[in-house]
Amino acid sequence: MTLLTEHSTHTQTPPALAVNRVSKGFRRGRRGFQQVLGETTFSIEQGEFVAIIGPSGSGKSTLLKLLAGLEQPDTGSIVLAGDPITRPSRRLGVVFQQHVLLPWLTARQNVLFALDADGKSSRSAQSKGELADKWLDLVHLEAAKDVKPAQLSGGMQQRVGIARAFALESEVLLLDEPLAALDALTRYSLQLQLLHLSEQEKRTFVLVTHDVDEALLLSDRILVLSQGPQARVQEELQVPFDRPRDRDAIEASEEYRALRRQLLDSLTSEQSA
Amino acid sequence: MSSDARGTTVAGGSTGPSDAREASPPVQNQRPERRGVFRWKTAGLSVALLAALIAIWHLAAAGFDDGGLAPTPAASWTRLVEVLSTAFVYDPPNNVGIVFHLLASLQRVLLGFGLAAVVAVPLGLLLGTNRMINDALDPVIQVLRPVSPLAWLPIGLAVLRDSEATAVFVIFMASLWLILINTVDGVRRVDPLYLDLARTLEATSFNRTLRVLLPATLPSIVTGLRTSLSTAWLVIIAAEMIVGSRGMGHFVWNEWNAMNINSIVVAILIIGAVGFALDRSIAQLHRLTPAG
Amino acid sequence: MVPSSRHRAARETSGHGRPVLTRRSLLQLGAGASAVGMLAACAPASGSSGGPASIEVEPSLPAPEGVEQPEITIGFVPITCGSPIVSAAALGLYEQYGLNVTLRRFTGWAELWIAFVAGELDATHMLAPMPLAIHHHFASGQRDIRLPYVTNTNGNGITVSKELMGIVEGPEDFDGLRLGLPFDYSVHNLLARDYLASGGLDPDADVDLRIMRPADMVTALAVGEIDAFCLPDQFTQRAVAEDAGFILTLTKELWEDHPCCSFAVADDFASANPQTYQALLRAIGDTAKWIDDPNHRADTAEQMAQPAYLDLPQPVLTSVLTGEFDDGAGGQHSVPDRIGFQPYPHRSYAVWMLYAMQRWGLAEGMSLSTSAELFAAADDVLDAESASSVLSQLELNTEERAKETVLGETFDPHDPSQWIEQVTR
Repeated sequence: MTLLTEHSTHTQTPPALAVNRVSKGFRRGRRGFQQVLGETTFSIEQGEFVAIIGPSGSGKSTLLKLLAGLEQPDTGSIVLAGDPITRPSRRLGVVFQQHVLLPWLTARQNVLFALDADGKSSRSAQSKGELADKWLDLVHLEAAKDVKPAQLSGGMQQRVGIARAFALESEVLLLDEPLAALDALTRYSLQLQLLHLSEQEKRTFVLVTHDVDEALLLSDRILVLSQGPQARVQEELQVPFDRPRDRDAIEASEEYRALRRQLLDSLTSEQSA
Repeated sequence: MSSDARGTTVAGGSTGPSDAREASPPVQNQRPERRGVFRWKTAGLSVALLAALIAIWHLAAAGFDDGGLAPTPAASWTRLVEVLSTAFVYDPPNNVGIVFHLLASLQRVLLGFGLAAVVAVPLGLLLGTNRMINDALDPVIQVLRPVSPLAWLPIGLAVLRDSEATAVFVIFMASLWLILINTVDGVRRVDPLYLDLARTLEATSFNRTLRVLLPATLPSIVTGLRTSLSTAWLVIIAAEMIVGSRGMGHFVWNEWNAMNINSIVVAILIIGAVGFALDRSIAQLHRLTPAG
Repeated sequence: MVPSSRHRAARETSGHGRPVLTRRSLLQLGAGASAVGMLAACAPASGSSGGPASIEVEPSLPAPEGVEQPEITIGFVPITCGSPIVSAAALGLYEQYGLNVTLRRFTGWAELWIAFVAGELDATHMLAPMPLAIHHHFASGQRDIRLPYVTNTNGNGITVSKELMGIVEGPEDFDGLRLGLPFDYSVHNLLARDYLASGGLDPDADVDLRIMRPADMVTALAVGEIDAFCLPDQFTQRAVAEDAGFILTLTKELWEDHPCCSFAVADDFASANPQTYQALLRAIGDTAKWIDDPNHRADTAEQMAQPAYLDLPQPVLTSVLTGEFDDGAGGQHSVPDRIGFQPYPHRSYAVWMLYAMQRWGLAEGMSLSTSAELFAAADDVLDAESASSVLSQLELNTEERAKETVLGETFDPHDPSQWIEQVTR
């Protein structure tokens, strides 16, 4: 199934996320005020994988915090499948840039904690355990379930974070530069795991990244943010590769190189402007 | 470097275990026999220093011709043996062994300290997370905190009308502020990402407080507990000199009034040793705290 | 160190002239005493400044010639028992006898003991058993010492909590109670123990004896921390004023004219400075004579109440010194010899104290089995010769007392064991 057909089949239903004229700024010092995000509008369809890319300081993280409900926009609104977001919700899973695992819990306990943190789950303890195991297995942490985060490598820690977010079964998964802190080889491997997981799971993904290749590999559409302050979406790019994707094949294609150049041009022109 | 690099295929299921092996703690780079030698040298130095200290003490005390007012090491040792050999004598009210004095002091300290912890930790978590209550209570805390715990003694005696309760109250006041302030400070220093995580998980306030905030604050709380227990142990001796009917402070007071100065040296040794043991045992709580 | 507001609060008086000790003032007193006790073992007390107009007393004797060391520091604990030592400063008699005395206030006997043995003090107020214990090395610290004067006789009492009124009427009723005492080496301790023993009790096993700071004991009695105490009358009377207790008995009813406090001088100092020693004995002896006069008691109370000396509410002090007092149990008493200042150091006193200290295990390493040994040990310390040379000139009593009547039985210093057998029969 290609992106375009999927996109069109969902036009009748409300978008997974609709960002309407959202802006956000922060107080700087006693009187100063910095407008981080200018008025921004875009929407993300159900089941779509959107990457948000931009130079550092472009307000990517601010935008993701707004989407997660961790910050409130100064103007405008963000609507999750018809419901305005006013605070964080389990319908929006977050994979943080730092893994944010509770260090006193094992990998498995971290996932389980996420499952019953809200105290509302109707699942039995056994069913929660099975769910946690399933996701830890899917990120290949079978043997490290009962290990505390400090004993895990950076890649493994982030995989626990990914398992935790997926196990929540949120409609939308927000990935905040999840692989940025890892070394190149680990990042490469985890990108493939994410690709696989996102293609298996029919969910909506928003990936914030500064890595052009990562965006091209994983997403259906790329939003390029302009350099802040007053960052906004300056360009929108469809990524037309068929799924399931084969990294080597994609990267070998002429289209990939063209898109990559276009993205880099867009980013660097913005930076030099 | 992680073996994620090798697991380039998504289906490759063997990446986890190798990661775990790689992540095992770094090996001590000192060879065992070298460490053994080091330990012997350390122990030797300790013994030499102790011997020197005792020699200086002996010379200093022997320099006085005052009938043993200044206690000598030998006289103190004799008294230590005496005190220890009657440690378990129990012939109340006026003749009880050192063990019962020690137990009485420990009981007061642990009770007052425990009550302080039960009050200060939850209050600290509340103040650390609630700016408004914190700002409202802060002046009260800042005014009461520097007050010497012993200043509470007459008030305790007048209000509680019971020396046991007063001693516990004084210990409570001695312990409360350090635990409270360390807890508040610990909460403030909790990584805000943990709180963001709790919010995105819609964690109940019970889960947020007890399963995120409390464990994350634990190192600071343990620091507060350690400092306050040391303070409590200092204060109990002074407090018991005034109110205690039994306890190390009372022992010191009685021996002082009976002019048994050697006993006071013995008491100092015992108080010091127990204080050290208390500190070590509470420091074990650090094991409960988050790794890494 | 001595806030004047504390003094004033404690001095408030009601229309009847009775001191009104509010709960607050009591607490302040207790707190002050504790804090002072804990933090500063001793506070220097300056000479007379402010307060009532000083009374000039003409010395009865000439000042000795060639006083070797007119500058001298004398230690004291602020209680009425040390009145001759303290009043000599208030009345200007030290100066009249060629001395320039600095009084140094101590809040506890143990601190004073150490200061004396360590050589910080050469002349000091002491509880009467202390010079005997220090000279004979009964506890930590030894220094050869002379005891020329007993600074007071009587002047103490046993006060019992008001809640035990009607329940505690005699020594046998102290079973299981908590009795506060000021110091191990005190007549209070020794006499209270024999008093309890006379009621058939074993003071070590049947009564919880607590050594406490006297100033803390009034508060402790008020809050039910102890059930009774045996202390100088300023404390027994203050407990009455506070409505915390009643005076069960004056110690003079247990032992008429018993010794309480003493004036002690280091032997080395007295030997090296005979004229200074003589001047001290004349000044204190003369003062004792003056303040023992019933006509001078009220003036003495006024002088001694000052912050520099005893720092006490004057009404309390007046009722101690004049013997006009309320016992807190509805009785008004007039006992002019409630406290007496007859300084002669009787051998019978010292023998009784040595004997008692030995019996209660306070005379470590000392075994005085015969009365000859007891007399010898007493004579080592008592300086009856110096005392009588001064006191006879002052026309004060220097007659040795052959026997004492203690707890209703005759104490013959030549046969102490007979007395104890009778007391504890």
